[in-house]
Amino acid sequence: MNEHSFVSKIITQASYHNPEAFPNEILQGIVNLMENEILPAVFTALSLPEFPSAMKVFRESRDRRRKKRFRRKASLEETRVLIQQLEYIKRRLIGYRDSSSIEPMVDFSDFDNFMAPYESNRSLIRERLEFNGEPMKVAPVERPSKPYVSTLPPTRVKHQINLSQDIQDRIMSDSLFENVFKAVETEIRELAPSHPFEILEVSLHSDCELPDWERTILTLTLPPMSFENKMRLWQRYDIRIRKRIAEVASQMDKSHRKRVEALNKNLFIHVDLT
Amino acid sequence: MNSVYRAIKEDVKAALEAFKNDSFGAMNTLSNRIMANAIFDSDKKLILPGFFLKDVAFVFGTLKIREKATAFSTAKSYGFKYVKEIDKLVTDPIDDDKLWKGFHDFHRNIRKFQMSDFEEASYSENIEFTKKAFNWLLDYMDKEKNVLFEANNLFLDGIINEMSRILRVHSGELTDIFALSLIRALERYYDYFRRKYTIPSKGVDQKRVINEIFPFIGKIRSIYTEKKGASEVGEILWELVKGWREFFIQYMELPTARLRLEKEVERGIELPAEVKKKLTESVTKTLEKEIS
Repeated sequence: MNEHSFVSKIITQASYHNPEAFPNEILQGIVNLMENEILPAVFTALSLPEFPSAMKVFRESRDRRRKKRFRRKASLEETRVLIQQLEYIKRRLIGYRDSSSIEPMVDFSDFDNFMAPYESNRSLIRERLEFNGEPMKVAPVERPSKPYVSTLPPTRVKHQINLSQDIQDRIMSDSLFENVFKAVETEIRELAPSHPFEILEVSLHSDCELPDWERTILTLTLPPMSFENKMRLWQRYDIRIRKRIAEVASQMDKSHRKRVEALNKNLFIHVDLT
Repeated sequence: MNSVYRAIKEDVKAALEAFKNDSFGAMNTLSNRIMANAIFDSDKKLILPGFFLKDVAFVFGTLKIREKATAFSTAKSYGFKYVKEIDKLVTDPIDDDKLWKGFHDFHRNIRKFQMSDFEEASYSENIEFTKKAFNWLLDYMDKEKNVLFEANNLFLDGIINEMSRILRVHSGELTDIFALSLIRALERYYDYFRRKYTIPSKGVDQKRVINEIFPFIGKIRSIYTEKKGASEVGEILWELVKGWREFFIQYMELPTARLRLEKEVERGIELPAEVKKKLTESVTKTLEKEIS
C-alpha cells in the first residue's frame, strides 16, 4: 500500500467511525491520536540500532570528505543525535511506569513574568541529555520542523460551564448534593465532545410562594444547528443525566436515595431552541 | 498599608482573575511574582499567599489536563472559595494560622476530585496511615540524604511524589501539609543549588550540600516530629523561598520538559484497533528504516 492510499484509508475510517465530526475535526483528531497514542506506542517499542562509536564517526567523516557518494546519506553524527533523542523520549515514556500515582501532573515554571526570554525557545531535549552534569552535544530540534505537533487551530466547540454562587455554596455545604452534581457534571463533560454545547449555566431557583421548592436549572446554549438536532441533543442530555443520577442513587442507602430522587425530580434542563 | 503589601494585594487580585478564567499557567506565574515581591519586605508571612496560590494553580492545572472527564467546575467551587479567602487575608498583619488552616481545608476538600474513579470508590480517610508513612519517609530522607550529592538524583521529587499521593488518597493533618510544603520548597531551592554547585564528573559539591541542604532536612523532620506551629514553619519556608527566588534572579528558568498546560486536552476520534495497529506499525517501520 503506498503512502497516499494509506493516509486516505485512515481518513475514510475516521470519517466512517465519527459521522458527526467535521472534516477539520477529523484532521485534528488524527493529529491528537498520533500525539497521544500512536507515537508513545511507537517510541516505547522502537528497537534502536547500535550507537555508532566515536571512532566510526571519525572514520566516516574522513571518508565523506573524500567520497562523493557519502554526501547523499545522513552522517553517522546525525544518526548518533537521532538515536540519543529517541532514547531520551523512550526512557521518559518507559520511566513513567514506576510511578505510584495514576494521573499525570503538570510541571510548572518558576517564571514571574509573562514575557518569555528568547532562550526559552531552545530545545528542551538538548538540555536534558546530560552526562555527569555536563550537557552532551546534540543538535537542536528546530521548532517549525518539529514533527507530530499540530499547527491546526483547535476546531472543536469550546464549552464553558458556569455555576452560580448559590450552586457553589450548595456544593460546599451539602455533601449529597455535591455527590450528585459531581456525577452530573462528569456526565455532561463526557457527552460534550460528541454533543457540543457552548455554555452551560447552572443555578438554583425557588418561588416566593413556595420557598421550600428548590429547583436546579441547567440552561444549555447550543452552537448553530437545526431545530431537530437541538431537540435530539436536548433529549440525549436529559436521558444521560437522569440515568447517571439513578446510578448514584442506586449506590446509596434508602434515606439518601429518597433525597437523590427528589433532587432528580427538581432538576430541569433548559435548551434555547430559538 | 505599605507599598509591598499593596503590590502583593494587586498580584493576588490578578491571580484571582486568572483562576476565574482557567488560566492556571498565568496564575502560577502570578504566584511566583507574589513570592518574588515578598522578598523585598521584612514581613516573612508575605510569601504565604504566593506559595498557596501556586499550589492551587498546580492542582487545577493538573485537573484541567486530565484526559478523562472530571467534575472540574464542581471542584472549582472549593478553589474559588479558597482563593477569595486568600485575597481577604492579605491585610497587615497577615494571619498565617488562618491561611494555613484554609490551605489544609482546601486539600481535604479537593482530594476527592484528584482521585481516579477506582481510587475514589475504594479509599476512605486514613490519617493514622498518613502519619506512619510520613514518619517513615522523613526518616528515610534523613538516612539516605547522601543521594543529594549525585548530580542527576530526583530524591526530593521522589519523596514529594509519595507524600502527595498518600495525602491525596488517605488525607492528612495540618502537620502533614507543613512537611510536604517544606519539602516542595526545598526541592525548588535544591534544583537551582544543584545547578550552581555541580562539579563536572564529581557531582554536587558535598561540603555545600552538608552545610546548606542537610540542615533543612533536619529542620523539616523536627517540625514534623515535634508538631511545631505555623510561625516556625513560616521561618523555614521564608529562607527556602527567598533562596529560590534569588537563584531565579541568577539563573532564570531551569530547562525541563513540561506538559503543555494551556492546550485543552481534546478527546480523540474513534479509530478501529486494527487501523491503529497498522498506523503504529507503519510509523515504526519508517522510523526504523530512517535510523538504520
